[in-house]
Amino acid sequence: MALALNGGQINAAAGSNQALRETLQAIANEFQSQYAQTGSGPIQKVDATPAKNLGPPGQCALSVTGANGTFTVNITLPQQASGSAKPANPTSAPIYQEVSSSPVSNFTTGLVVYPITVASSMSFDNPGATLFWRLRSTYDQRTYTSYTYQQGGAVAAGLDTSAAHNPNLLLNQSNFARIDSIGAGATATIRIYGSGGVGTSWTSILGENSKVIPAGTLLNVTYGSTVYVAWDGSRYQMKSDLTQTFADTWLPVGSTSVISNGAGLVLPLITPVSTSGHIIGYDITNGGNDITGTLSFAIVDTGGGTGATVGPATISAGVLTALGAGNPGASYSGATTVTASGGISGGVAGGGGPTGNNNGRLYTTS
Amino acid sequence: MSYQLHQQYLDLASGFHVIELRDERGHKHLLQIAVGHDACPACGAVHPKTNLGELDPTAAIVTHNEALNTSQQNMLEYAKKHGLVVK
Repeated sequence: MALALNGGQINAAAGSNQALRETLQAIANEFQSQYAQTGSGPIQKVDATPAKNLGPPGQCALSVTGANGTFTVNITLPQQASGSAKPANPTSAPIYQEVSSSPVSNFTTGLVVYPITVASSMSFDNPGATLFWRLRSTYDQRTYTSYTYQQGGAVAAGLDTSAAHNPNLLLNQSNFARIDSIGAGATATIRIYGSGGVGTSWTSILGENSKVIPAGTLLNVTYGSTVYVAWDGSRYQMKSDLTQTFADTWLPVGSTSVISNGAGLVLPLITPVSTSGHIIGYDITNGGNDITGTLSFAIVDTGGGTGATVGPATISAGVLTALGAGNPGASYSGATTVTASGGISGGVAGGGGPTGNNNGRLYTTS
Repeated sequence: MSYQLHQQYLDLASGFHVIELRDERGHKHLLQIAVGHDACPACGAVHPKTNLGELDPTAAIVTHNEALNTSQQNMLEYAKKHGLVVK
């Protein structure tokens, strides 16, 4: 029975059933009302499968080249070919092309079939890949030509070259990071922060884009060398050599000399406490600053006293906070002096640079 | 609004105890304690750190959280005083 929603169809279907006839007619009327309101009508059946053509098109030619990490595919249609034996496409009908590639010549592994298209040129990004290519063509997406293979074997896409980029693109970068080191007792602290001061984030600039990187504090860093700091995307990396910060995806931040704080090493001043020619203790009149190594003490007496030694020295945050008594010695009757030496912080005083130092940038910015 | 410990881990490759502090807005501050070896920049000779027993990461976290939160509180009071929108 043909499908149609009209009076004849309804009468044929309902027969003598009056109730069914009225129901079907009501449905038909409802549809007509909807069509009138929306300006539409019954949807016509559409065949999803294109009509089958009589045969495949003439053979198309394939040319694939690779450069700058991209494969460029060019297809020559039959009507574009030359010579007396050129294949025919007299009506210039659209020809669908199916391009595929594989890392092996027999296309048994790693096969990639690209979306079918009527375009005759296309490009695929695949840096570093070397692939074999083939093509087959069809009018109706059902009947294909035999495969045409890229002549000369596999094609290499190559890698990006500077020719593929705007001039100086990769160098148009800088950052607004500050990096400095401060003494923290026996070790140093490296601080990375922004123009807002210690603890504030900083901005990395790449071309016309920028992104914000969190501030960082690196503790327990050994004195005595210049370090280079990079941001690896989630944490800071600290290296002793600049080139070690050039890993792909790392962002060089800057460098700093990890030495003493701004005031540098200051040796403590000690006054001995004597009684009856014996040294029984030591007063610390100045605890010094930035002491990072072992201190030595020389006790000299103008009255001929000898034998006195110091006890344990307590150093906290680079400052001598206590000096115990050792052997009291004897005959300390003159002017007695205690002179400290050593305690070297391992660097040059003040060499850490001023707070807010910005060494290590590609370009100096404010 | 205050900074708190968000995560911490040991990164063996870089030799850092990585401590990430975050506030409610997602602002981050990284506290990294060097616990790996020191290498001579000239010859590359490795000298393991010998002071790991003296380190106190918990105290460092507390100290830095306090400093960051004090700074942030000061900024918020400034913003409030001048009627600024906080972003």
